[in-house]
Amino acid sequence: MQARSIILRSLPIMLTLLFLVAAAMGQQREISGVVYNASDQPLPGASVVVKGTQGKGMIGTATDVDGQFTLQVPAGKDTLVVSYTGYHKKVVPIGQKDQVRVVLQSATSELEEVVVTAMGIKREEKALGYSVQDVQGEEMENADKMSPLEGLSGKVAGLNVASTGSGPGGSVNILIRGMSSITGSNEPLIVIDGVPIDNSGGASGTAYGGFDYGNAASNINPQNIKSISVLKGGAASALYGYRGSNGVIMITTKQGSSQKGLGIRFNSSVSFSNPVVRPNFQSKYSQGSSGSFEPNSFRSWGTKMNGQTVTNFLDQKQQLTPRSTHPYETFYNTGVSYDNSISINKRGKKNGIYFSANWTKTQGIQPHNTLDKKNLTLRYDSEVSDFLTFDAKANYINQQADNRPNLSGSPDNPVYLMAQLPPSVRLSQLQPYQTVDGYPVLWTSEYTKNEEGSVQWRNDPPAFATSPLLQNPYWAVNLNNNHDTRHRLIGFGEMNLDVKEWFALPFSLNVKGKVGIDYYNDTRERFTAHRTYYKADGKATINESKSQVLEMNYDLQVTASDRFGSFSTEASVGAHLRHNQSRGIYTSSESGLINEDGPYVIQNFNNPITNDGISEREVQSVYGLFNVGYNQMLYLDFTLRNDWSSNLSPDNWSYLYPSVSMSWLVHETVSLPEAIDFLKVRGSWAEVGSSGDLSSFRYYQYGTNPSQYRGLPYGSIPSNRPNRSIHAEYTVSKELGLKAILLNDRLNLDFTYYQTGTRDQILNSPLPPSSGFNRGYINAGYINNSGIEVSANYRLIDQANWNMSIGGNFTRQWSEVEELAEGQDIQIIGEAAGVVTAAKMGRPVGMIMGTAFARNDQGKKIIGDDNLPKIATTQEGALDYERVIGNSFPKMLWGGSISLSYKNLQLGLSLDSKLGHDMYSLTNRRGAEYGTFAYTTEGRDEWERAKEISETTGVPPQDGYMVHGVKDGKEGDYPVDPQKYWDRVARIHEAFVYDASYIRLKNASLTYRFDMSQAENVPFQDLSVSVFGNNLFYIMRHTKNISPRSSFGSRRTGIEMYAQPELRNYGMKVRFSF
Amino acid sequence: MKPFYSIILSALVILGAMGGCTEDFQQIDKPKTTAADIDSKYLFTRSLVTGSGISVGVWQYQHQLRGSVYAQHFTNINSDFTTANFEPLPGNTIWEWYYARKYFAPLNLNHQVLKLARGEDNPIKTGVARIWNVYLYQILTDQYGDIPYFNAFEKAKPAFDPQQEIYADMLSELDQAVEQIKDNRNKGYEGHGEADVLYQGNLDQWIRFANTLTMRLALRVSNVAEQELTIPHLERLDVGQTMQSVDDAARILPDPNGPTYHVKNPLSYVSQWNEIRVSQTMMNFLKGYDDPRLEVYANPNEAGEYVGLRNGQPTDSLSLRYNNHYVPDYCNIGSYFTGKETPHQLLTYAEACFLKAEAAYKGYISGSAEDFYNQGIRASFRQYGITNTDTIEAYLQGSASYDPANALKQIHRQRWIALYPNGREAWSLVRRTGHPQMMEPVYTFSGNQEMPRRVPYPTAERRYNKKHYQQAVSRMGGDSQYTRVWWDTQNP
Repeated sequence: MQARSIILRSLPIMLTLLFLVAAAMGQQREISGVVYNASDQPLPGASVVVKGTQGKGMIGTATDVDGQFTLQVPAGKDTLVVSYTGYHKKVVPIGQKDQVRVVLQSATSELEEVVVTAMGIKREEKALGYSVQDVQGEEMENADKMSPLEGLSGKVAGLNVASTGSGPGGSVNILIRGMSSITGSNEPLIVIDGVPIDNSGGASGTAYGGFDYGNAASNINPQNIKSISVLKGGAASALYGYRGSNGVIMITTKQGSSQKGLGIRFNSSVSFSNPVVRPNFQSKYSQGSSGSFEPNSFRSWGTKMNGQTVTNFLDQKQQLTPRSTHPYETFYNTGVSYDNSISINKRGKKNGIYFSANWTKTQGIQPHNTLDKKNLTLRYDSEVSDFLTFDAKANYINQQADNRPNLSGSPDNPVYLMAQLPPSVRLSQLQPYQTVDGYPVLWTSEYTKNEEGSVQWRNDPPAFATSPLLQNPYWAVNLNNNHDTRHRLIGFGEMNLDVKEWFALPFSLNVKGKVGIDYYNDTRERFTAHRTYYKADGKATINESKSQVLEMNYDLQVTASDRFGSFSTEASVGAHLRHNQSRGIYTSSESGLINEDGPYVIQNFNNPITNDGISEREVQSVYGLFNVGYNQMLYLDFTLRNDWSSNLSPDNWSYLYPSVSMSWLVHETVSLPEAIDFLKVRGSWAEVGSSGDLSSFRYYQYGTNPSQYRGLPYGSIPSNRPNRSIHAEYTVSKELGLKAILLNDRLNLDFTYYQTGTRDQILNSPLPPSSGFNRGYINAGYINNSGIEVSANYRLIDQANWNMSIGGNFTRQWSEVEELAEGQDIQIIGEAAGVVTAAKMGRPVGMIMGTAFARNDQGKKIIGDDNLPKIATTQEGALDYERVIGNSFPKMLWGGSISLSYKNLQLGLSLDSKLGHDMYSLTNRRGAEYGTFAYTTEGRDEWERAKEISETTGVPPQDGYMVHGVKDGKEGDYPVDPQKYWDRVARIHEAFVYDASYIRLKNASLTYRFDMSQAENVPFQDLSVSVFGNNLFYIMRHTKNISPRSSFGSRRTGIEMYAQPELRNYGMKVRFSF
Repeated sequence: MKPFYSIILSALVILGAMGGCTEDFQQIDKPKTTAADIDSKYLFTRSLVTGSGISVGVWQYQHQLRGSVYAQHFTNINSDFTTANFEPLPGNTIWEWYYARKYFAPLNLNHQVLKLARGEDNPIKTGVARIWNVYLYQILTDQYGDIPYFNAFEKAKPAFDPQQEIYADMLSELDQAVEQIKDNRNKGYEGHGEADVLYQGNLDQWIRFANTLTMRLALRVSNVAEQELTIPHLERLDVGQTMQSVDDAARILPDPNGPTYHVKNPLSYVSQWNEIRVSQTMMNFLKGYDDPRLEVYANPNEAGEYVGLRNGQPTDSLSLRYNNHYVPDYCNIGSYFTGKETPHQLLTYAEACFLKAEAAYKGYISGSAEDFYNQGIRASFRQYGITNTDTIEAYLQGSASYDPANALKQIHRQRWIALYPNGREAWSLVRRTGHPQMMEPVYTFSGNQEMPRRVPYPTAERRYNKKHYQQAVSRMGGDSQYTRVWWDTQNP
């Protein structure tokens, strides 16, 4: 039908051309060529015109059935214009050539592109009044080792992707268009093939430790992804209702499709990982303080190591020599990951099948850390009859992890330990990590070591849990273990009824029913071994949890469409029901083993405590969508949705909200300069209601805990203040945008301005303790988020053998906290070791606050009588912990990519950048205080010399670490003992705030695709080999010793706390199919 | 055109009907692991244990970081603990742990006990909980001054009440609670029974505890409300119904086999961690009196000697010389206090005797101040198993012997020694009476040479209860550690 209409439409042109060709006989130069489409098929009937010839004098021709043409070109003309309906016009310089090969790009790829929008509704992209950005699966394929969502970083404008840096299988946090809720989740909804999935979980880290179990997104097999659409604004996600208020990431996976050959495909890759950024440790000064070696000191302010012989903590003679190997090199391994998958993909006349099996085995860089993932998918779709189709998918995921890295301030975190390891203590001296009688070996206690290498106490066994908490890193990774297992099933079944076909209706009418399931079962256990140094009384502890979550989603949707003259209309109504049930049993004991030689299982522990958590929630919704198009020029969409949420009171549990959006195709309406192929202006306004994270907050309830004190039970009271009057919160977003395709489809531009904010937020707000509660639910707060998003793609070279395109996207974002709970001008978001990130009135969300240098009116640091910098205080003379010392909200995000191909060889590069934000680093604070970082060596030699001079002359030392500042009104550099300087500065948070702006080479890949069409007797249909590297290096960064992308916990962006080394990952991959 | 709209409309109606099936919502949202009601005794046990301050965290924040170093029972040698150098820090943790910290909140737990007990019209449970309430609030108001009292736990942002009104109410609560128990004790009301882990349901002992508390409170306000509160309450007091022996002491036993460290002896941890050293001030008094409690209060240093450490060593010296100087050379807290079963004292019989001595000396109650003074010393000795009559008599006849000319100073000094290691109460005593004389710390943060008089309010109240916080601050004249609480007026 379509093909015929194209021919009919192009017939007049062809006739004209034929006429013109005849009229233009007898010209001076002949040029011939062939016109192809992108898949190398010749295009018959394409028009070829000499540029600059018009009207009567037009010189041109049309291609024949083989796509070939011959044309006489007059002298002085050297350019052809080739066009074909449905394809982008192309301007071809011919120079002195007499033969050309022209490839036209299908315009339908952008102009007529069909995109999947909310609730799986397929729409023409041009009709959308809001921005949807797509990323194709192929672009994600080399992102293997990272979660597929991590791969989105830098690819989609307005998307802020943060990883917590917590080892393989770690979670990824995404913010679309900034943070709108102060206490609620700001994570977008993740939908796989129309089924919303539970993306909870993630980093459970607090300042005292924790693990990152990964969020749901990390369970997805990147190989199965066909495409990802990011719905950013409210209008885009309005149909997902309360769950779509933070945007939606829609993942479409593969289904059976027609393939040449057997349709069996193998994918195999191996990759390696190692740290991108390592702390720059000092290696010259020993354990100790005040310039002297001390064998049991916590710190590294000892003597300069010149080969002196000393007695170390093991009571052995040791020569003090500078450390030559970075401790990370000794302690960490090269991470290795194997990834193998097979897929079978087949489509018959009436049905299609897709099966894939994927197995990933990863060894982390930390000793004994492994992650094993298996992923099986089966999808089947069938045309049951002319009017009924069926589609179903089941995806089973099994994941097992051993010894995930301990995060943040846990003494089992090797990063924490290595930041304190004195350069004179070699990691080899910490092995064996226990004495003959099973006590820990630490560089701060006294031992003797016999000739067989076994270690014994010199005096008494240690006092456990001595501050600061310390640990032998080998004890941590060998004895204090953790394991977790996840079984997950995600699936759906869908029936589609074409009523028009069935009843021969005069208009199109479809009924779709769908059931989605997401079930997972997690088992997690961790323990600390008997006599772990940092545990009270050295008692063994255990934590075990088993939880299961079942979420069912039911959908019924009726869609009708019809045309009325110049108007096309479509209307859908649907109902949705979400039911979520979860149950978790948590058992723990910190009272030690019953049988010390027995296993670490719950029945071998004293006083285990068990808790059962059960929760259930349900949301019901109805929605309607109406859109009308006029002459393919102007489109208007309206949506309306009503939700009923079980967690609200009956008076408030129903809430209604609308959205409207508009798209105007300017190029269809007015005539535009030739350079503009396509121009769309769009705008939208949407309101999305939400009942928050569906937590229950209506009841004051008492609980009980068994046997807490001398066998007696304890009663408990809630720590959250109940509130029966909570009502839905509303996110209102406005968006204006422009999309243009220019220069013969070479340049693609998209521009968006948005403004969004959530009013009456359901805040789990902190309360004053005197209320009797830690927190309470209230409706309050408003953060105004706005931004500009620009994305552009330019095909720089577009030739038969050579292709090059560059792309980029850019976001400039603003945020301002405009309202908080009544009477409050600040609310804390994240907190660690005295530093907070906060929502502060009138400022962007995420201000970093803590202690600061005392400064005079000119902003110069004030130096005390002891030559040390003073700390800013409050009017009351107390240390001021609320100075604004940084801003963790990034002002700018951008990403860029280049893809270059020559024949079968393809090179891809992509960059990623976040600019204009800060972070506080606890790793630096500790390394500075303990004298382990290289920058703490400044002034040490000078101070020692000055001290010696001072002893003979009696004049105070005149050299050392030079502190710049104002002392008694005089600005200058004042000498101090570097150890005292860093001891003081360790108490000043401002000193460890860094500009976290960065530019990194996110990804590079080189792929060679063997051309199998020429080969005979080869069973392969396709064979390609690639090498790739992810997160290769930073082109720009300002953070010392740490990665600017590290943060701990999902809400604590802006604070780094002993973050796991950020990994670079590189490897090779082979793909072949039969 | 017509069928198009009619189908859409009918679909809308059908789906709308489907969407509105909310009958199950109440059931779905109802909590499934908790209950709307509970027997108050489970909450009371928890309030008693957490309110005793036995958890090492609570102990550290109230004593190790505040009272014990201000009143110079101890000093800290961990360089992170700078309150011994009078660094002004906000008093977050104590406040949170008493009002609302998850798993603690003794005040809140007891508030619920009172509500439930009143709800079931049980005057015995109510009376006992009212006494306990006063014990808890007194601790908090003495540290902070004005605190939320009348509306705490009932409002999301409760107002702060003046300490004067709190004290007046606490004293009348004690009176009324004692009356309430006496009036109803033989009417068959069930008490908390074994859930009452302080006195195991012994109402006589609760009455004695209440009356002793009345003395503690009435004397504390004697500088500011002698006529209004001290005299009326002490005149009414039946001294025969105050604590009569060591057995009446309010104390909580640690649970060495408990599931968490919050029920174990906090001092055993603190001593293991080597973070505190006995203050030189305390050591001087013990040595000066040739006090037999010396060997109980302190363990000898590595050289076998009894050496106290002067308070407030410079913070940078602490980080430099913690391990090779302060730890081996100075005395750690005595092993008696660090035993797994050593009771955690809330109000001792010795303190009761010194309260009586002061009250008798000032004529608020009848009786001989000297006798009460001597009883106090004997009680304190007995508490530590020092029962040798010769030792006791020698002490009573020695430099500590009662001297009517210096009686108040002596009573306060002996009370200060006997309170060890309850630094929080010792600090209140030093603030009110100026006795004993404290030594100036070796190093103090600039502008903070004097002993702090108060714990500054927590950040959370300032942030989230701003209006009421500011009212309290302007009423008290500031929120620094030198702002004085209402009863602290007389001494430098």
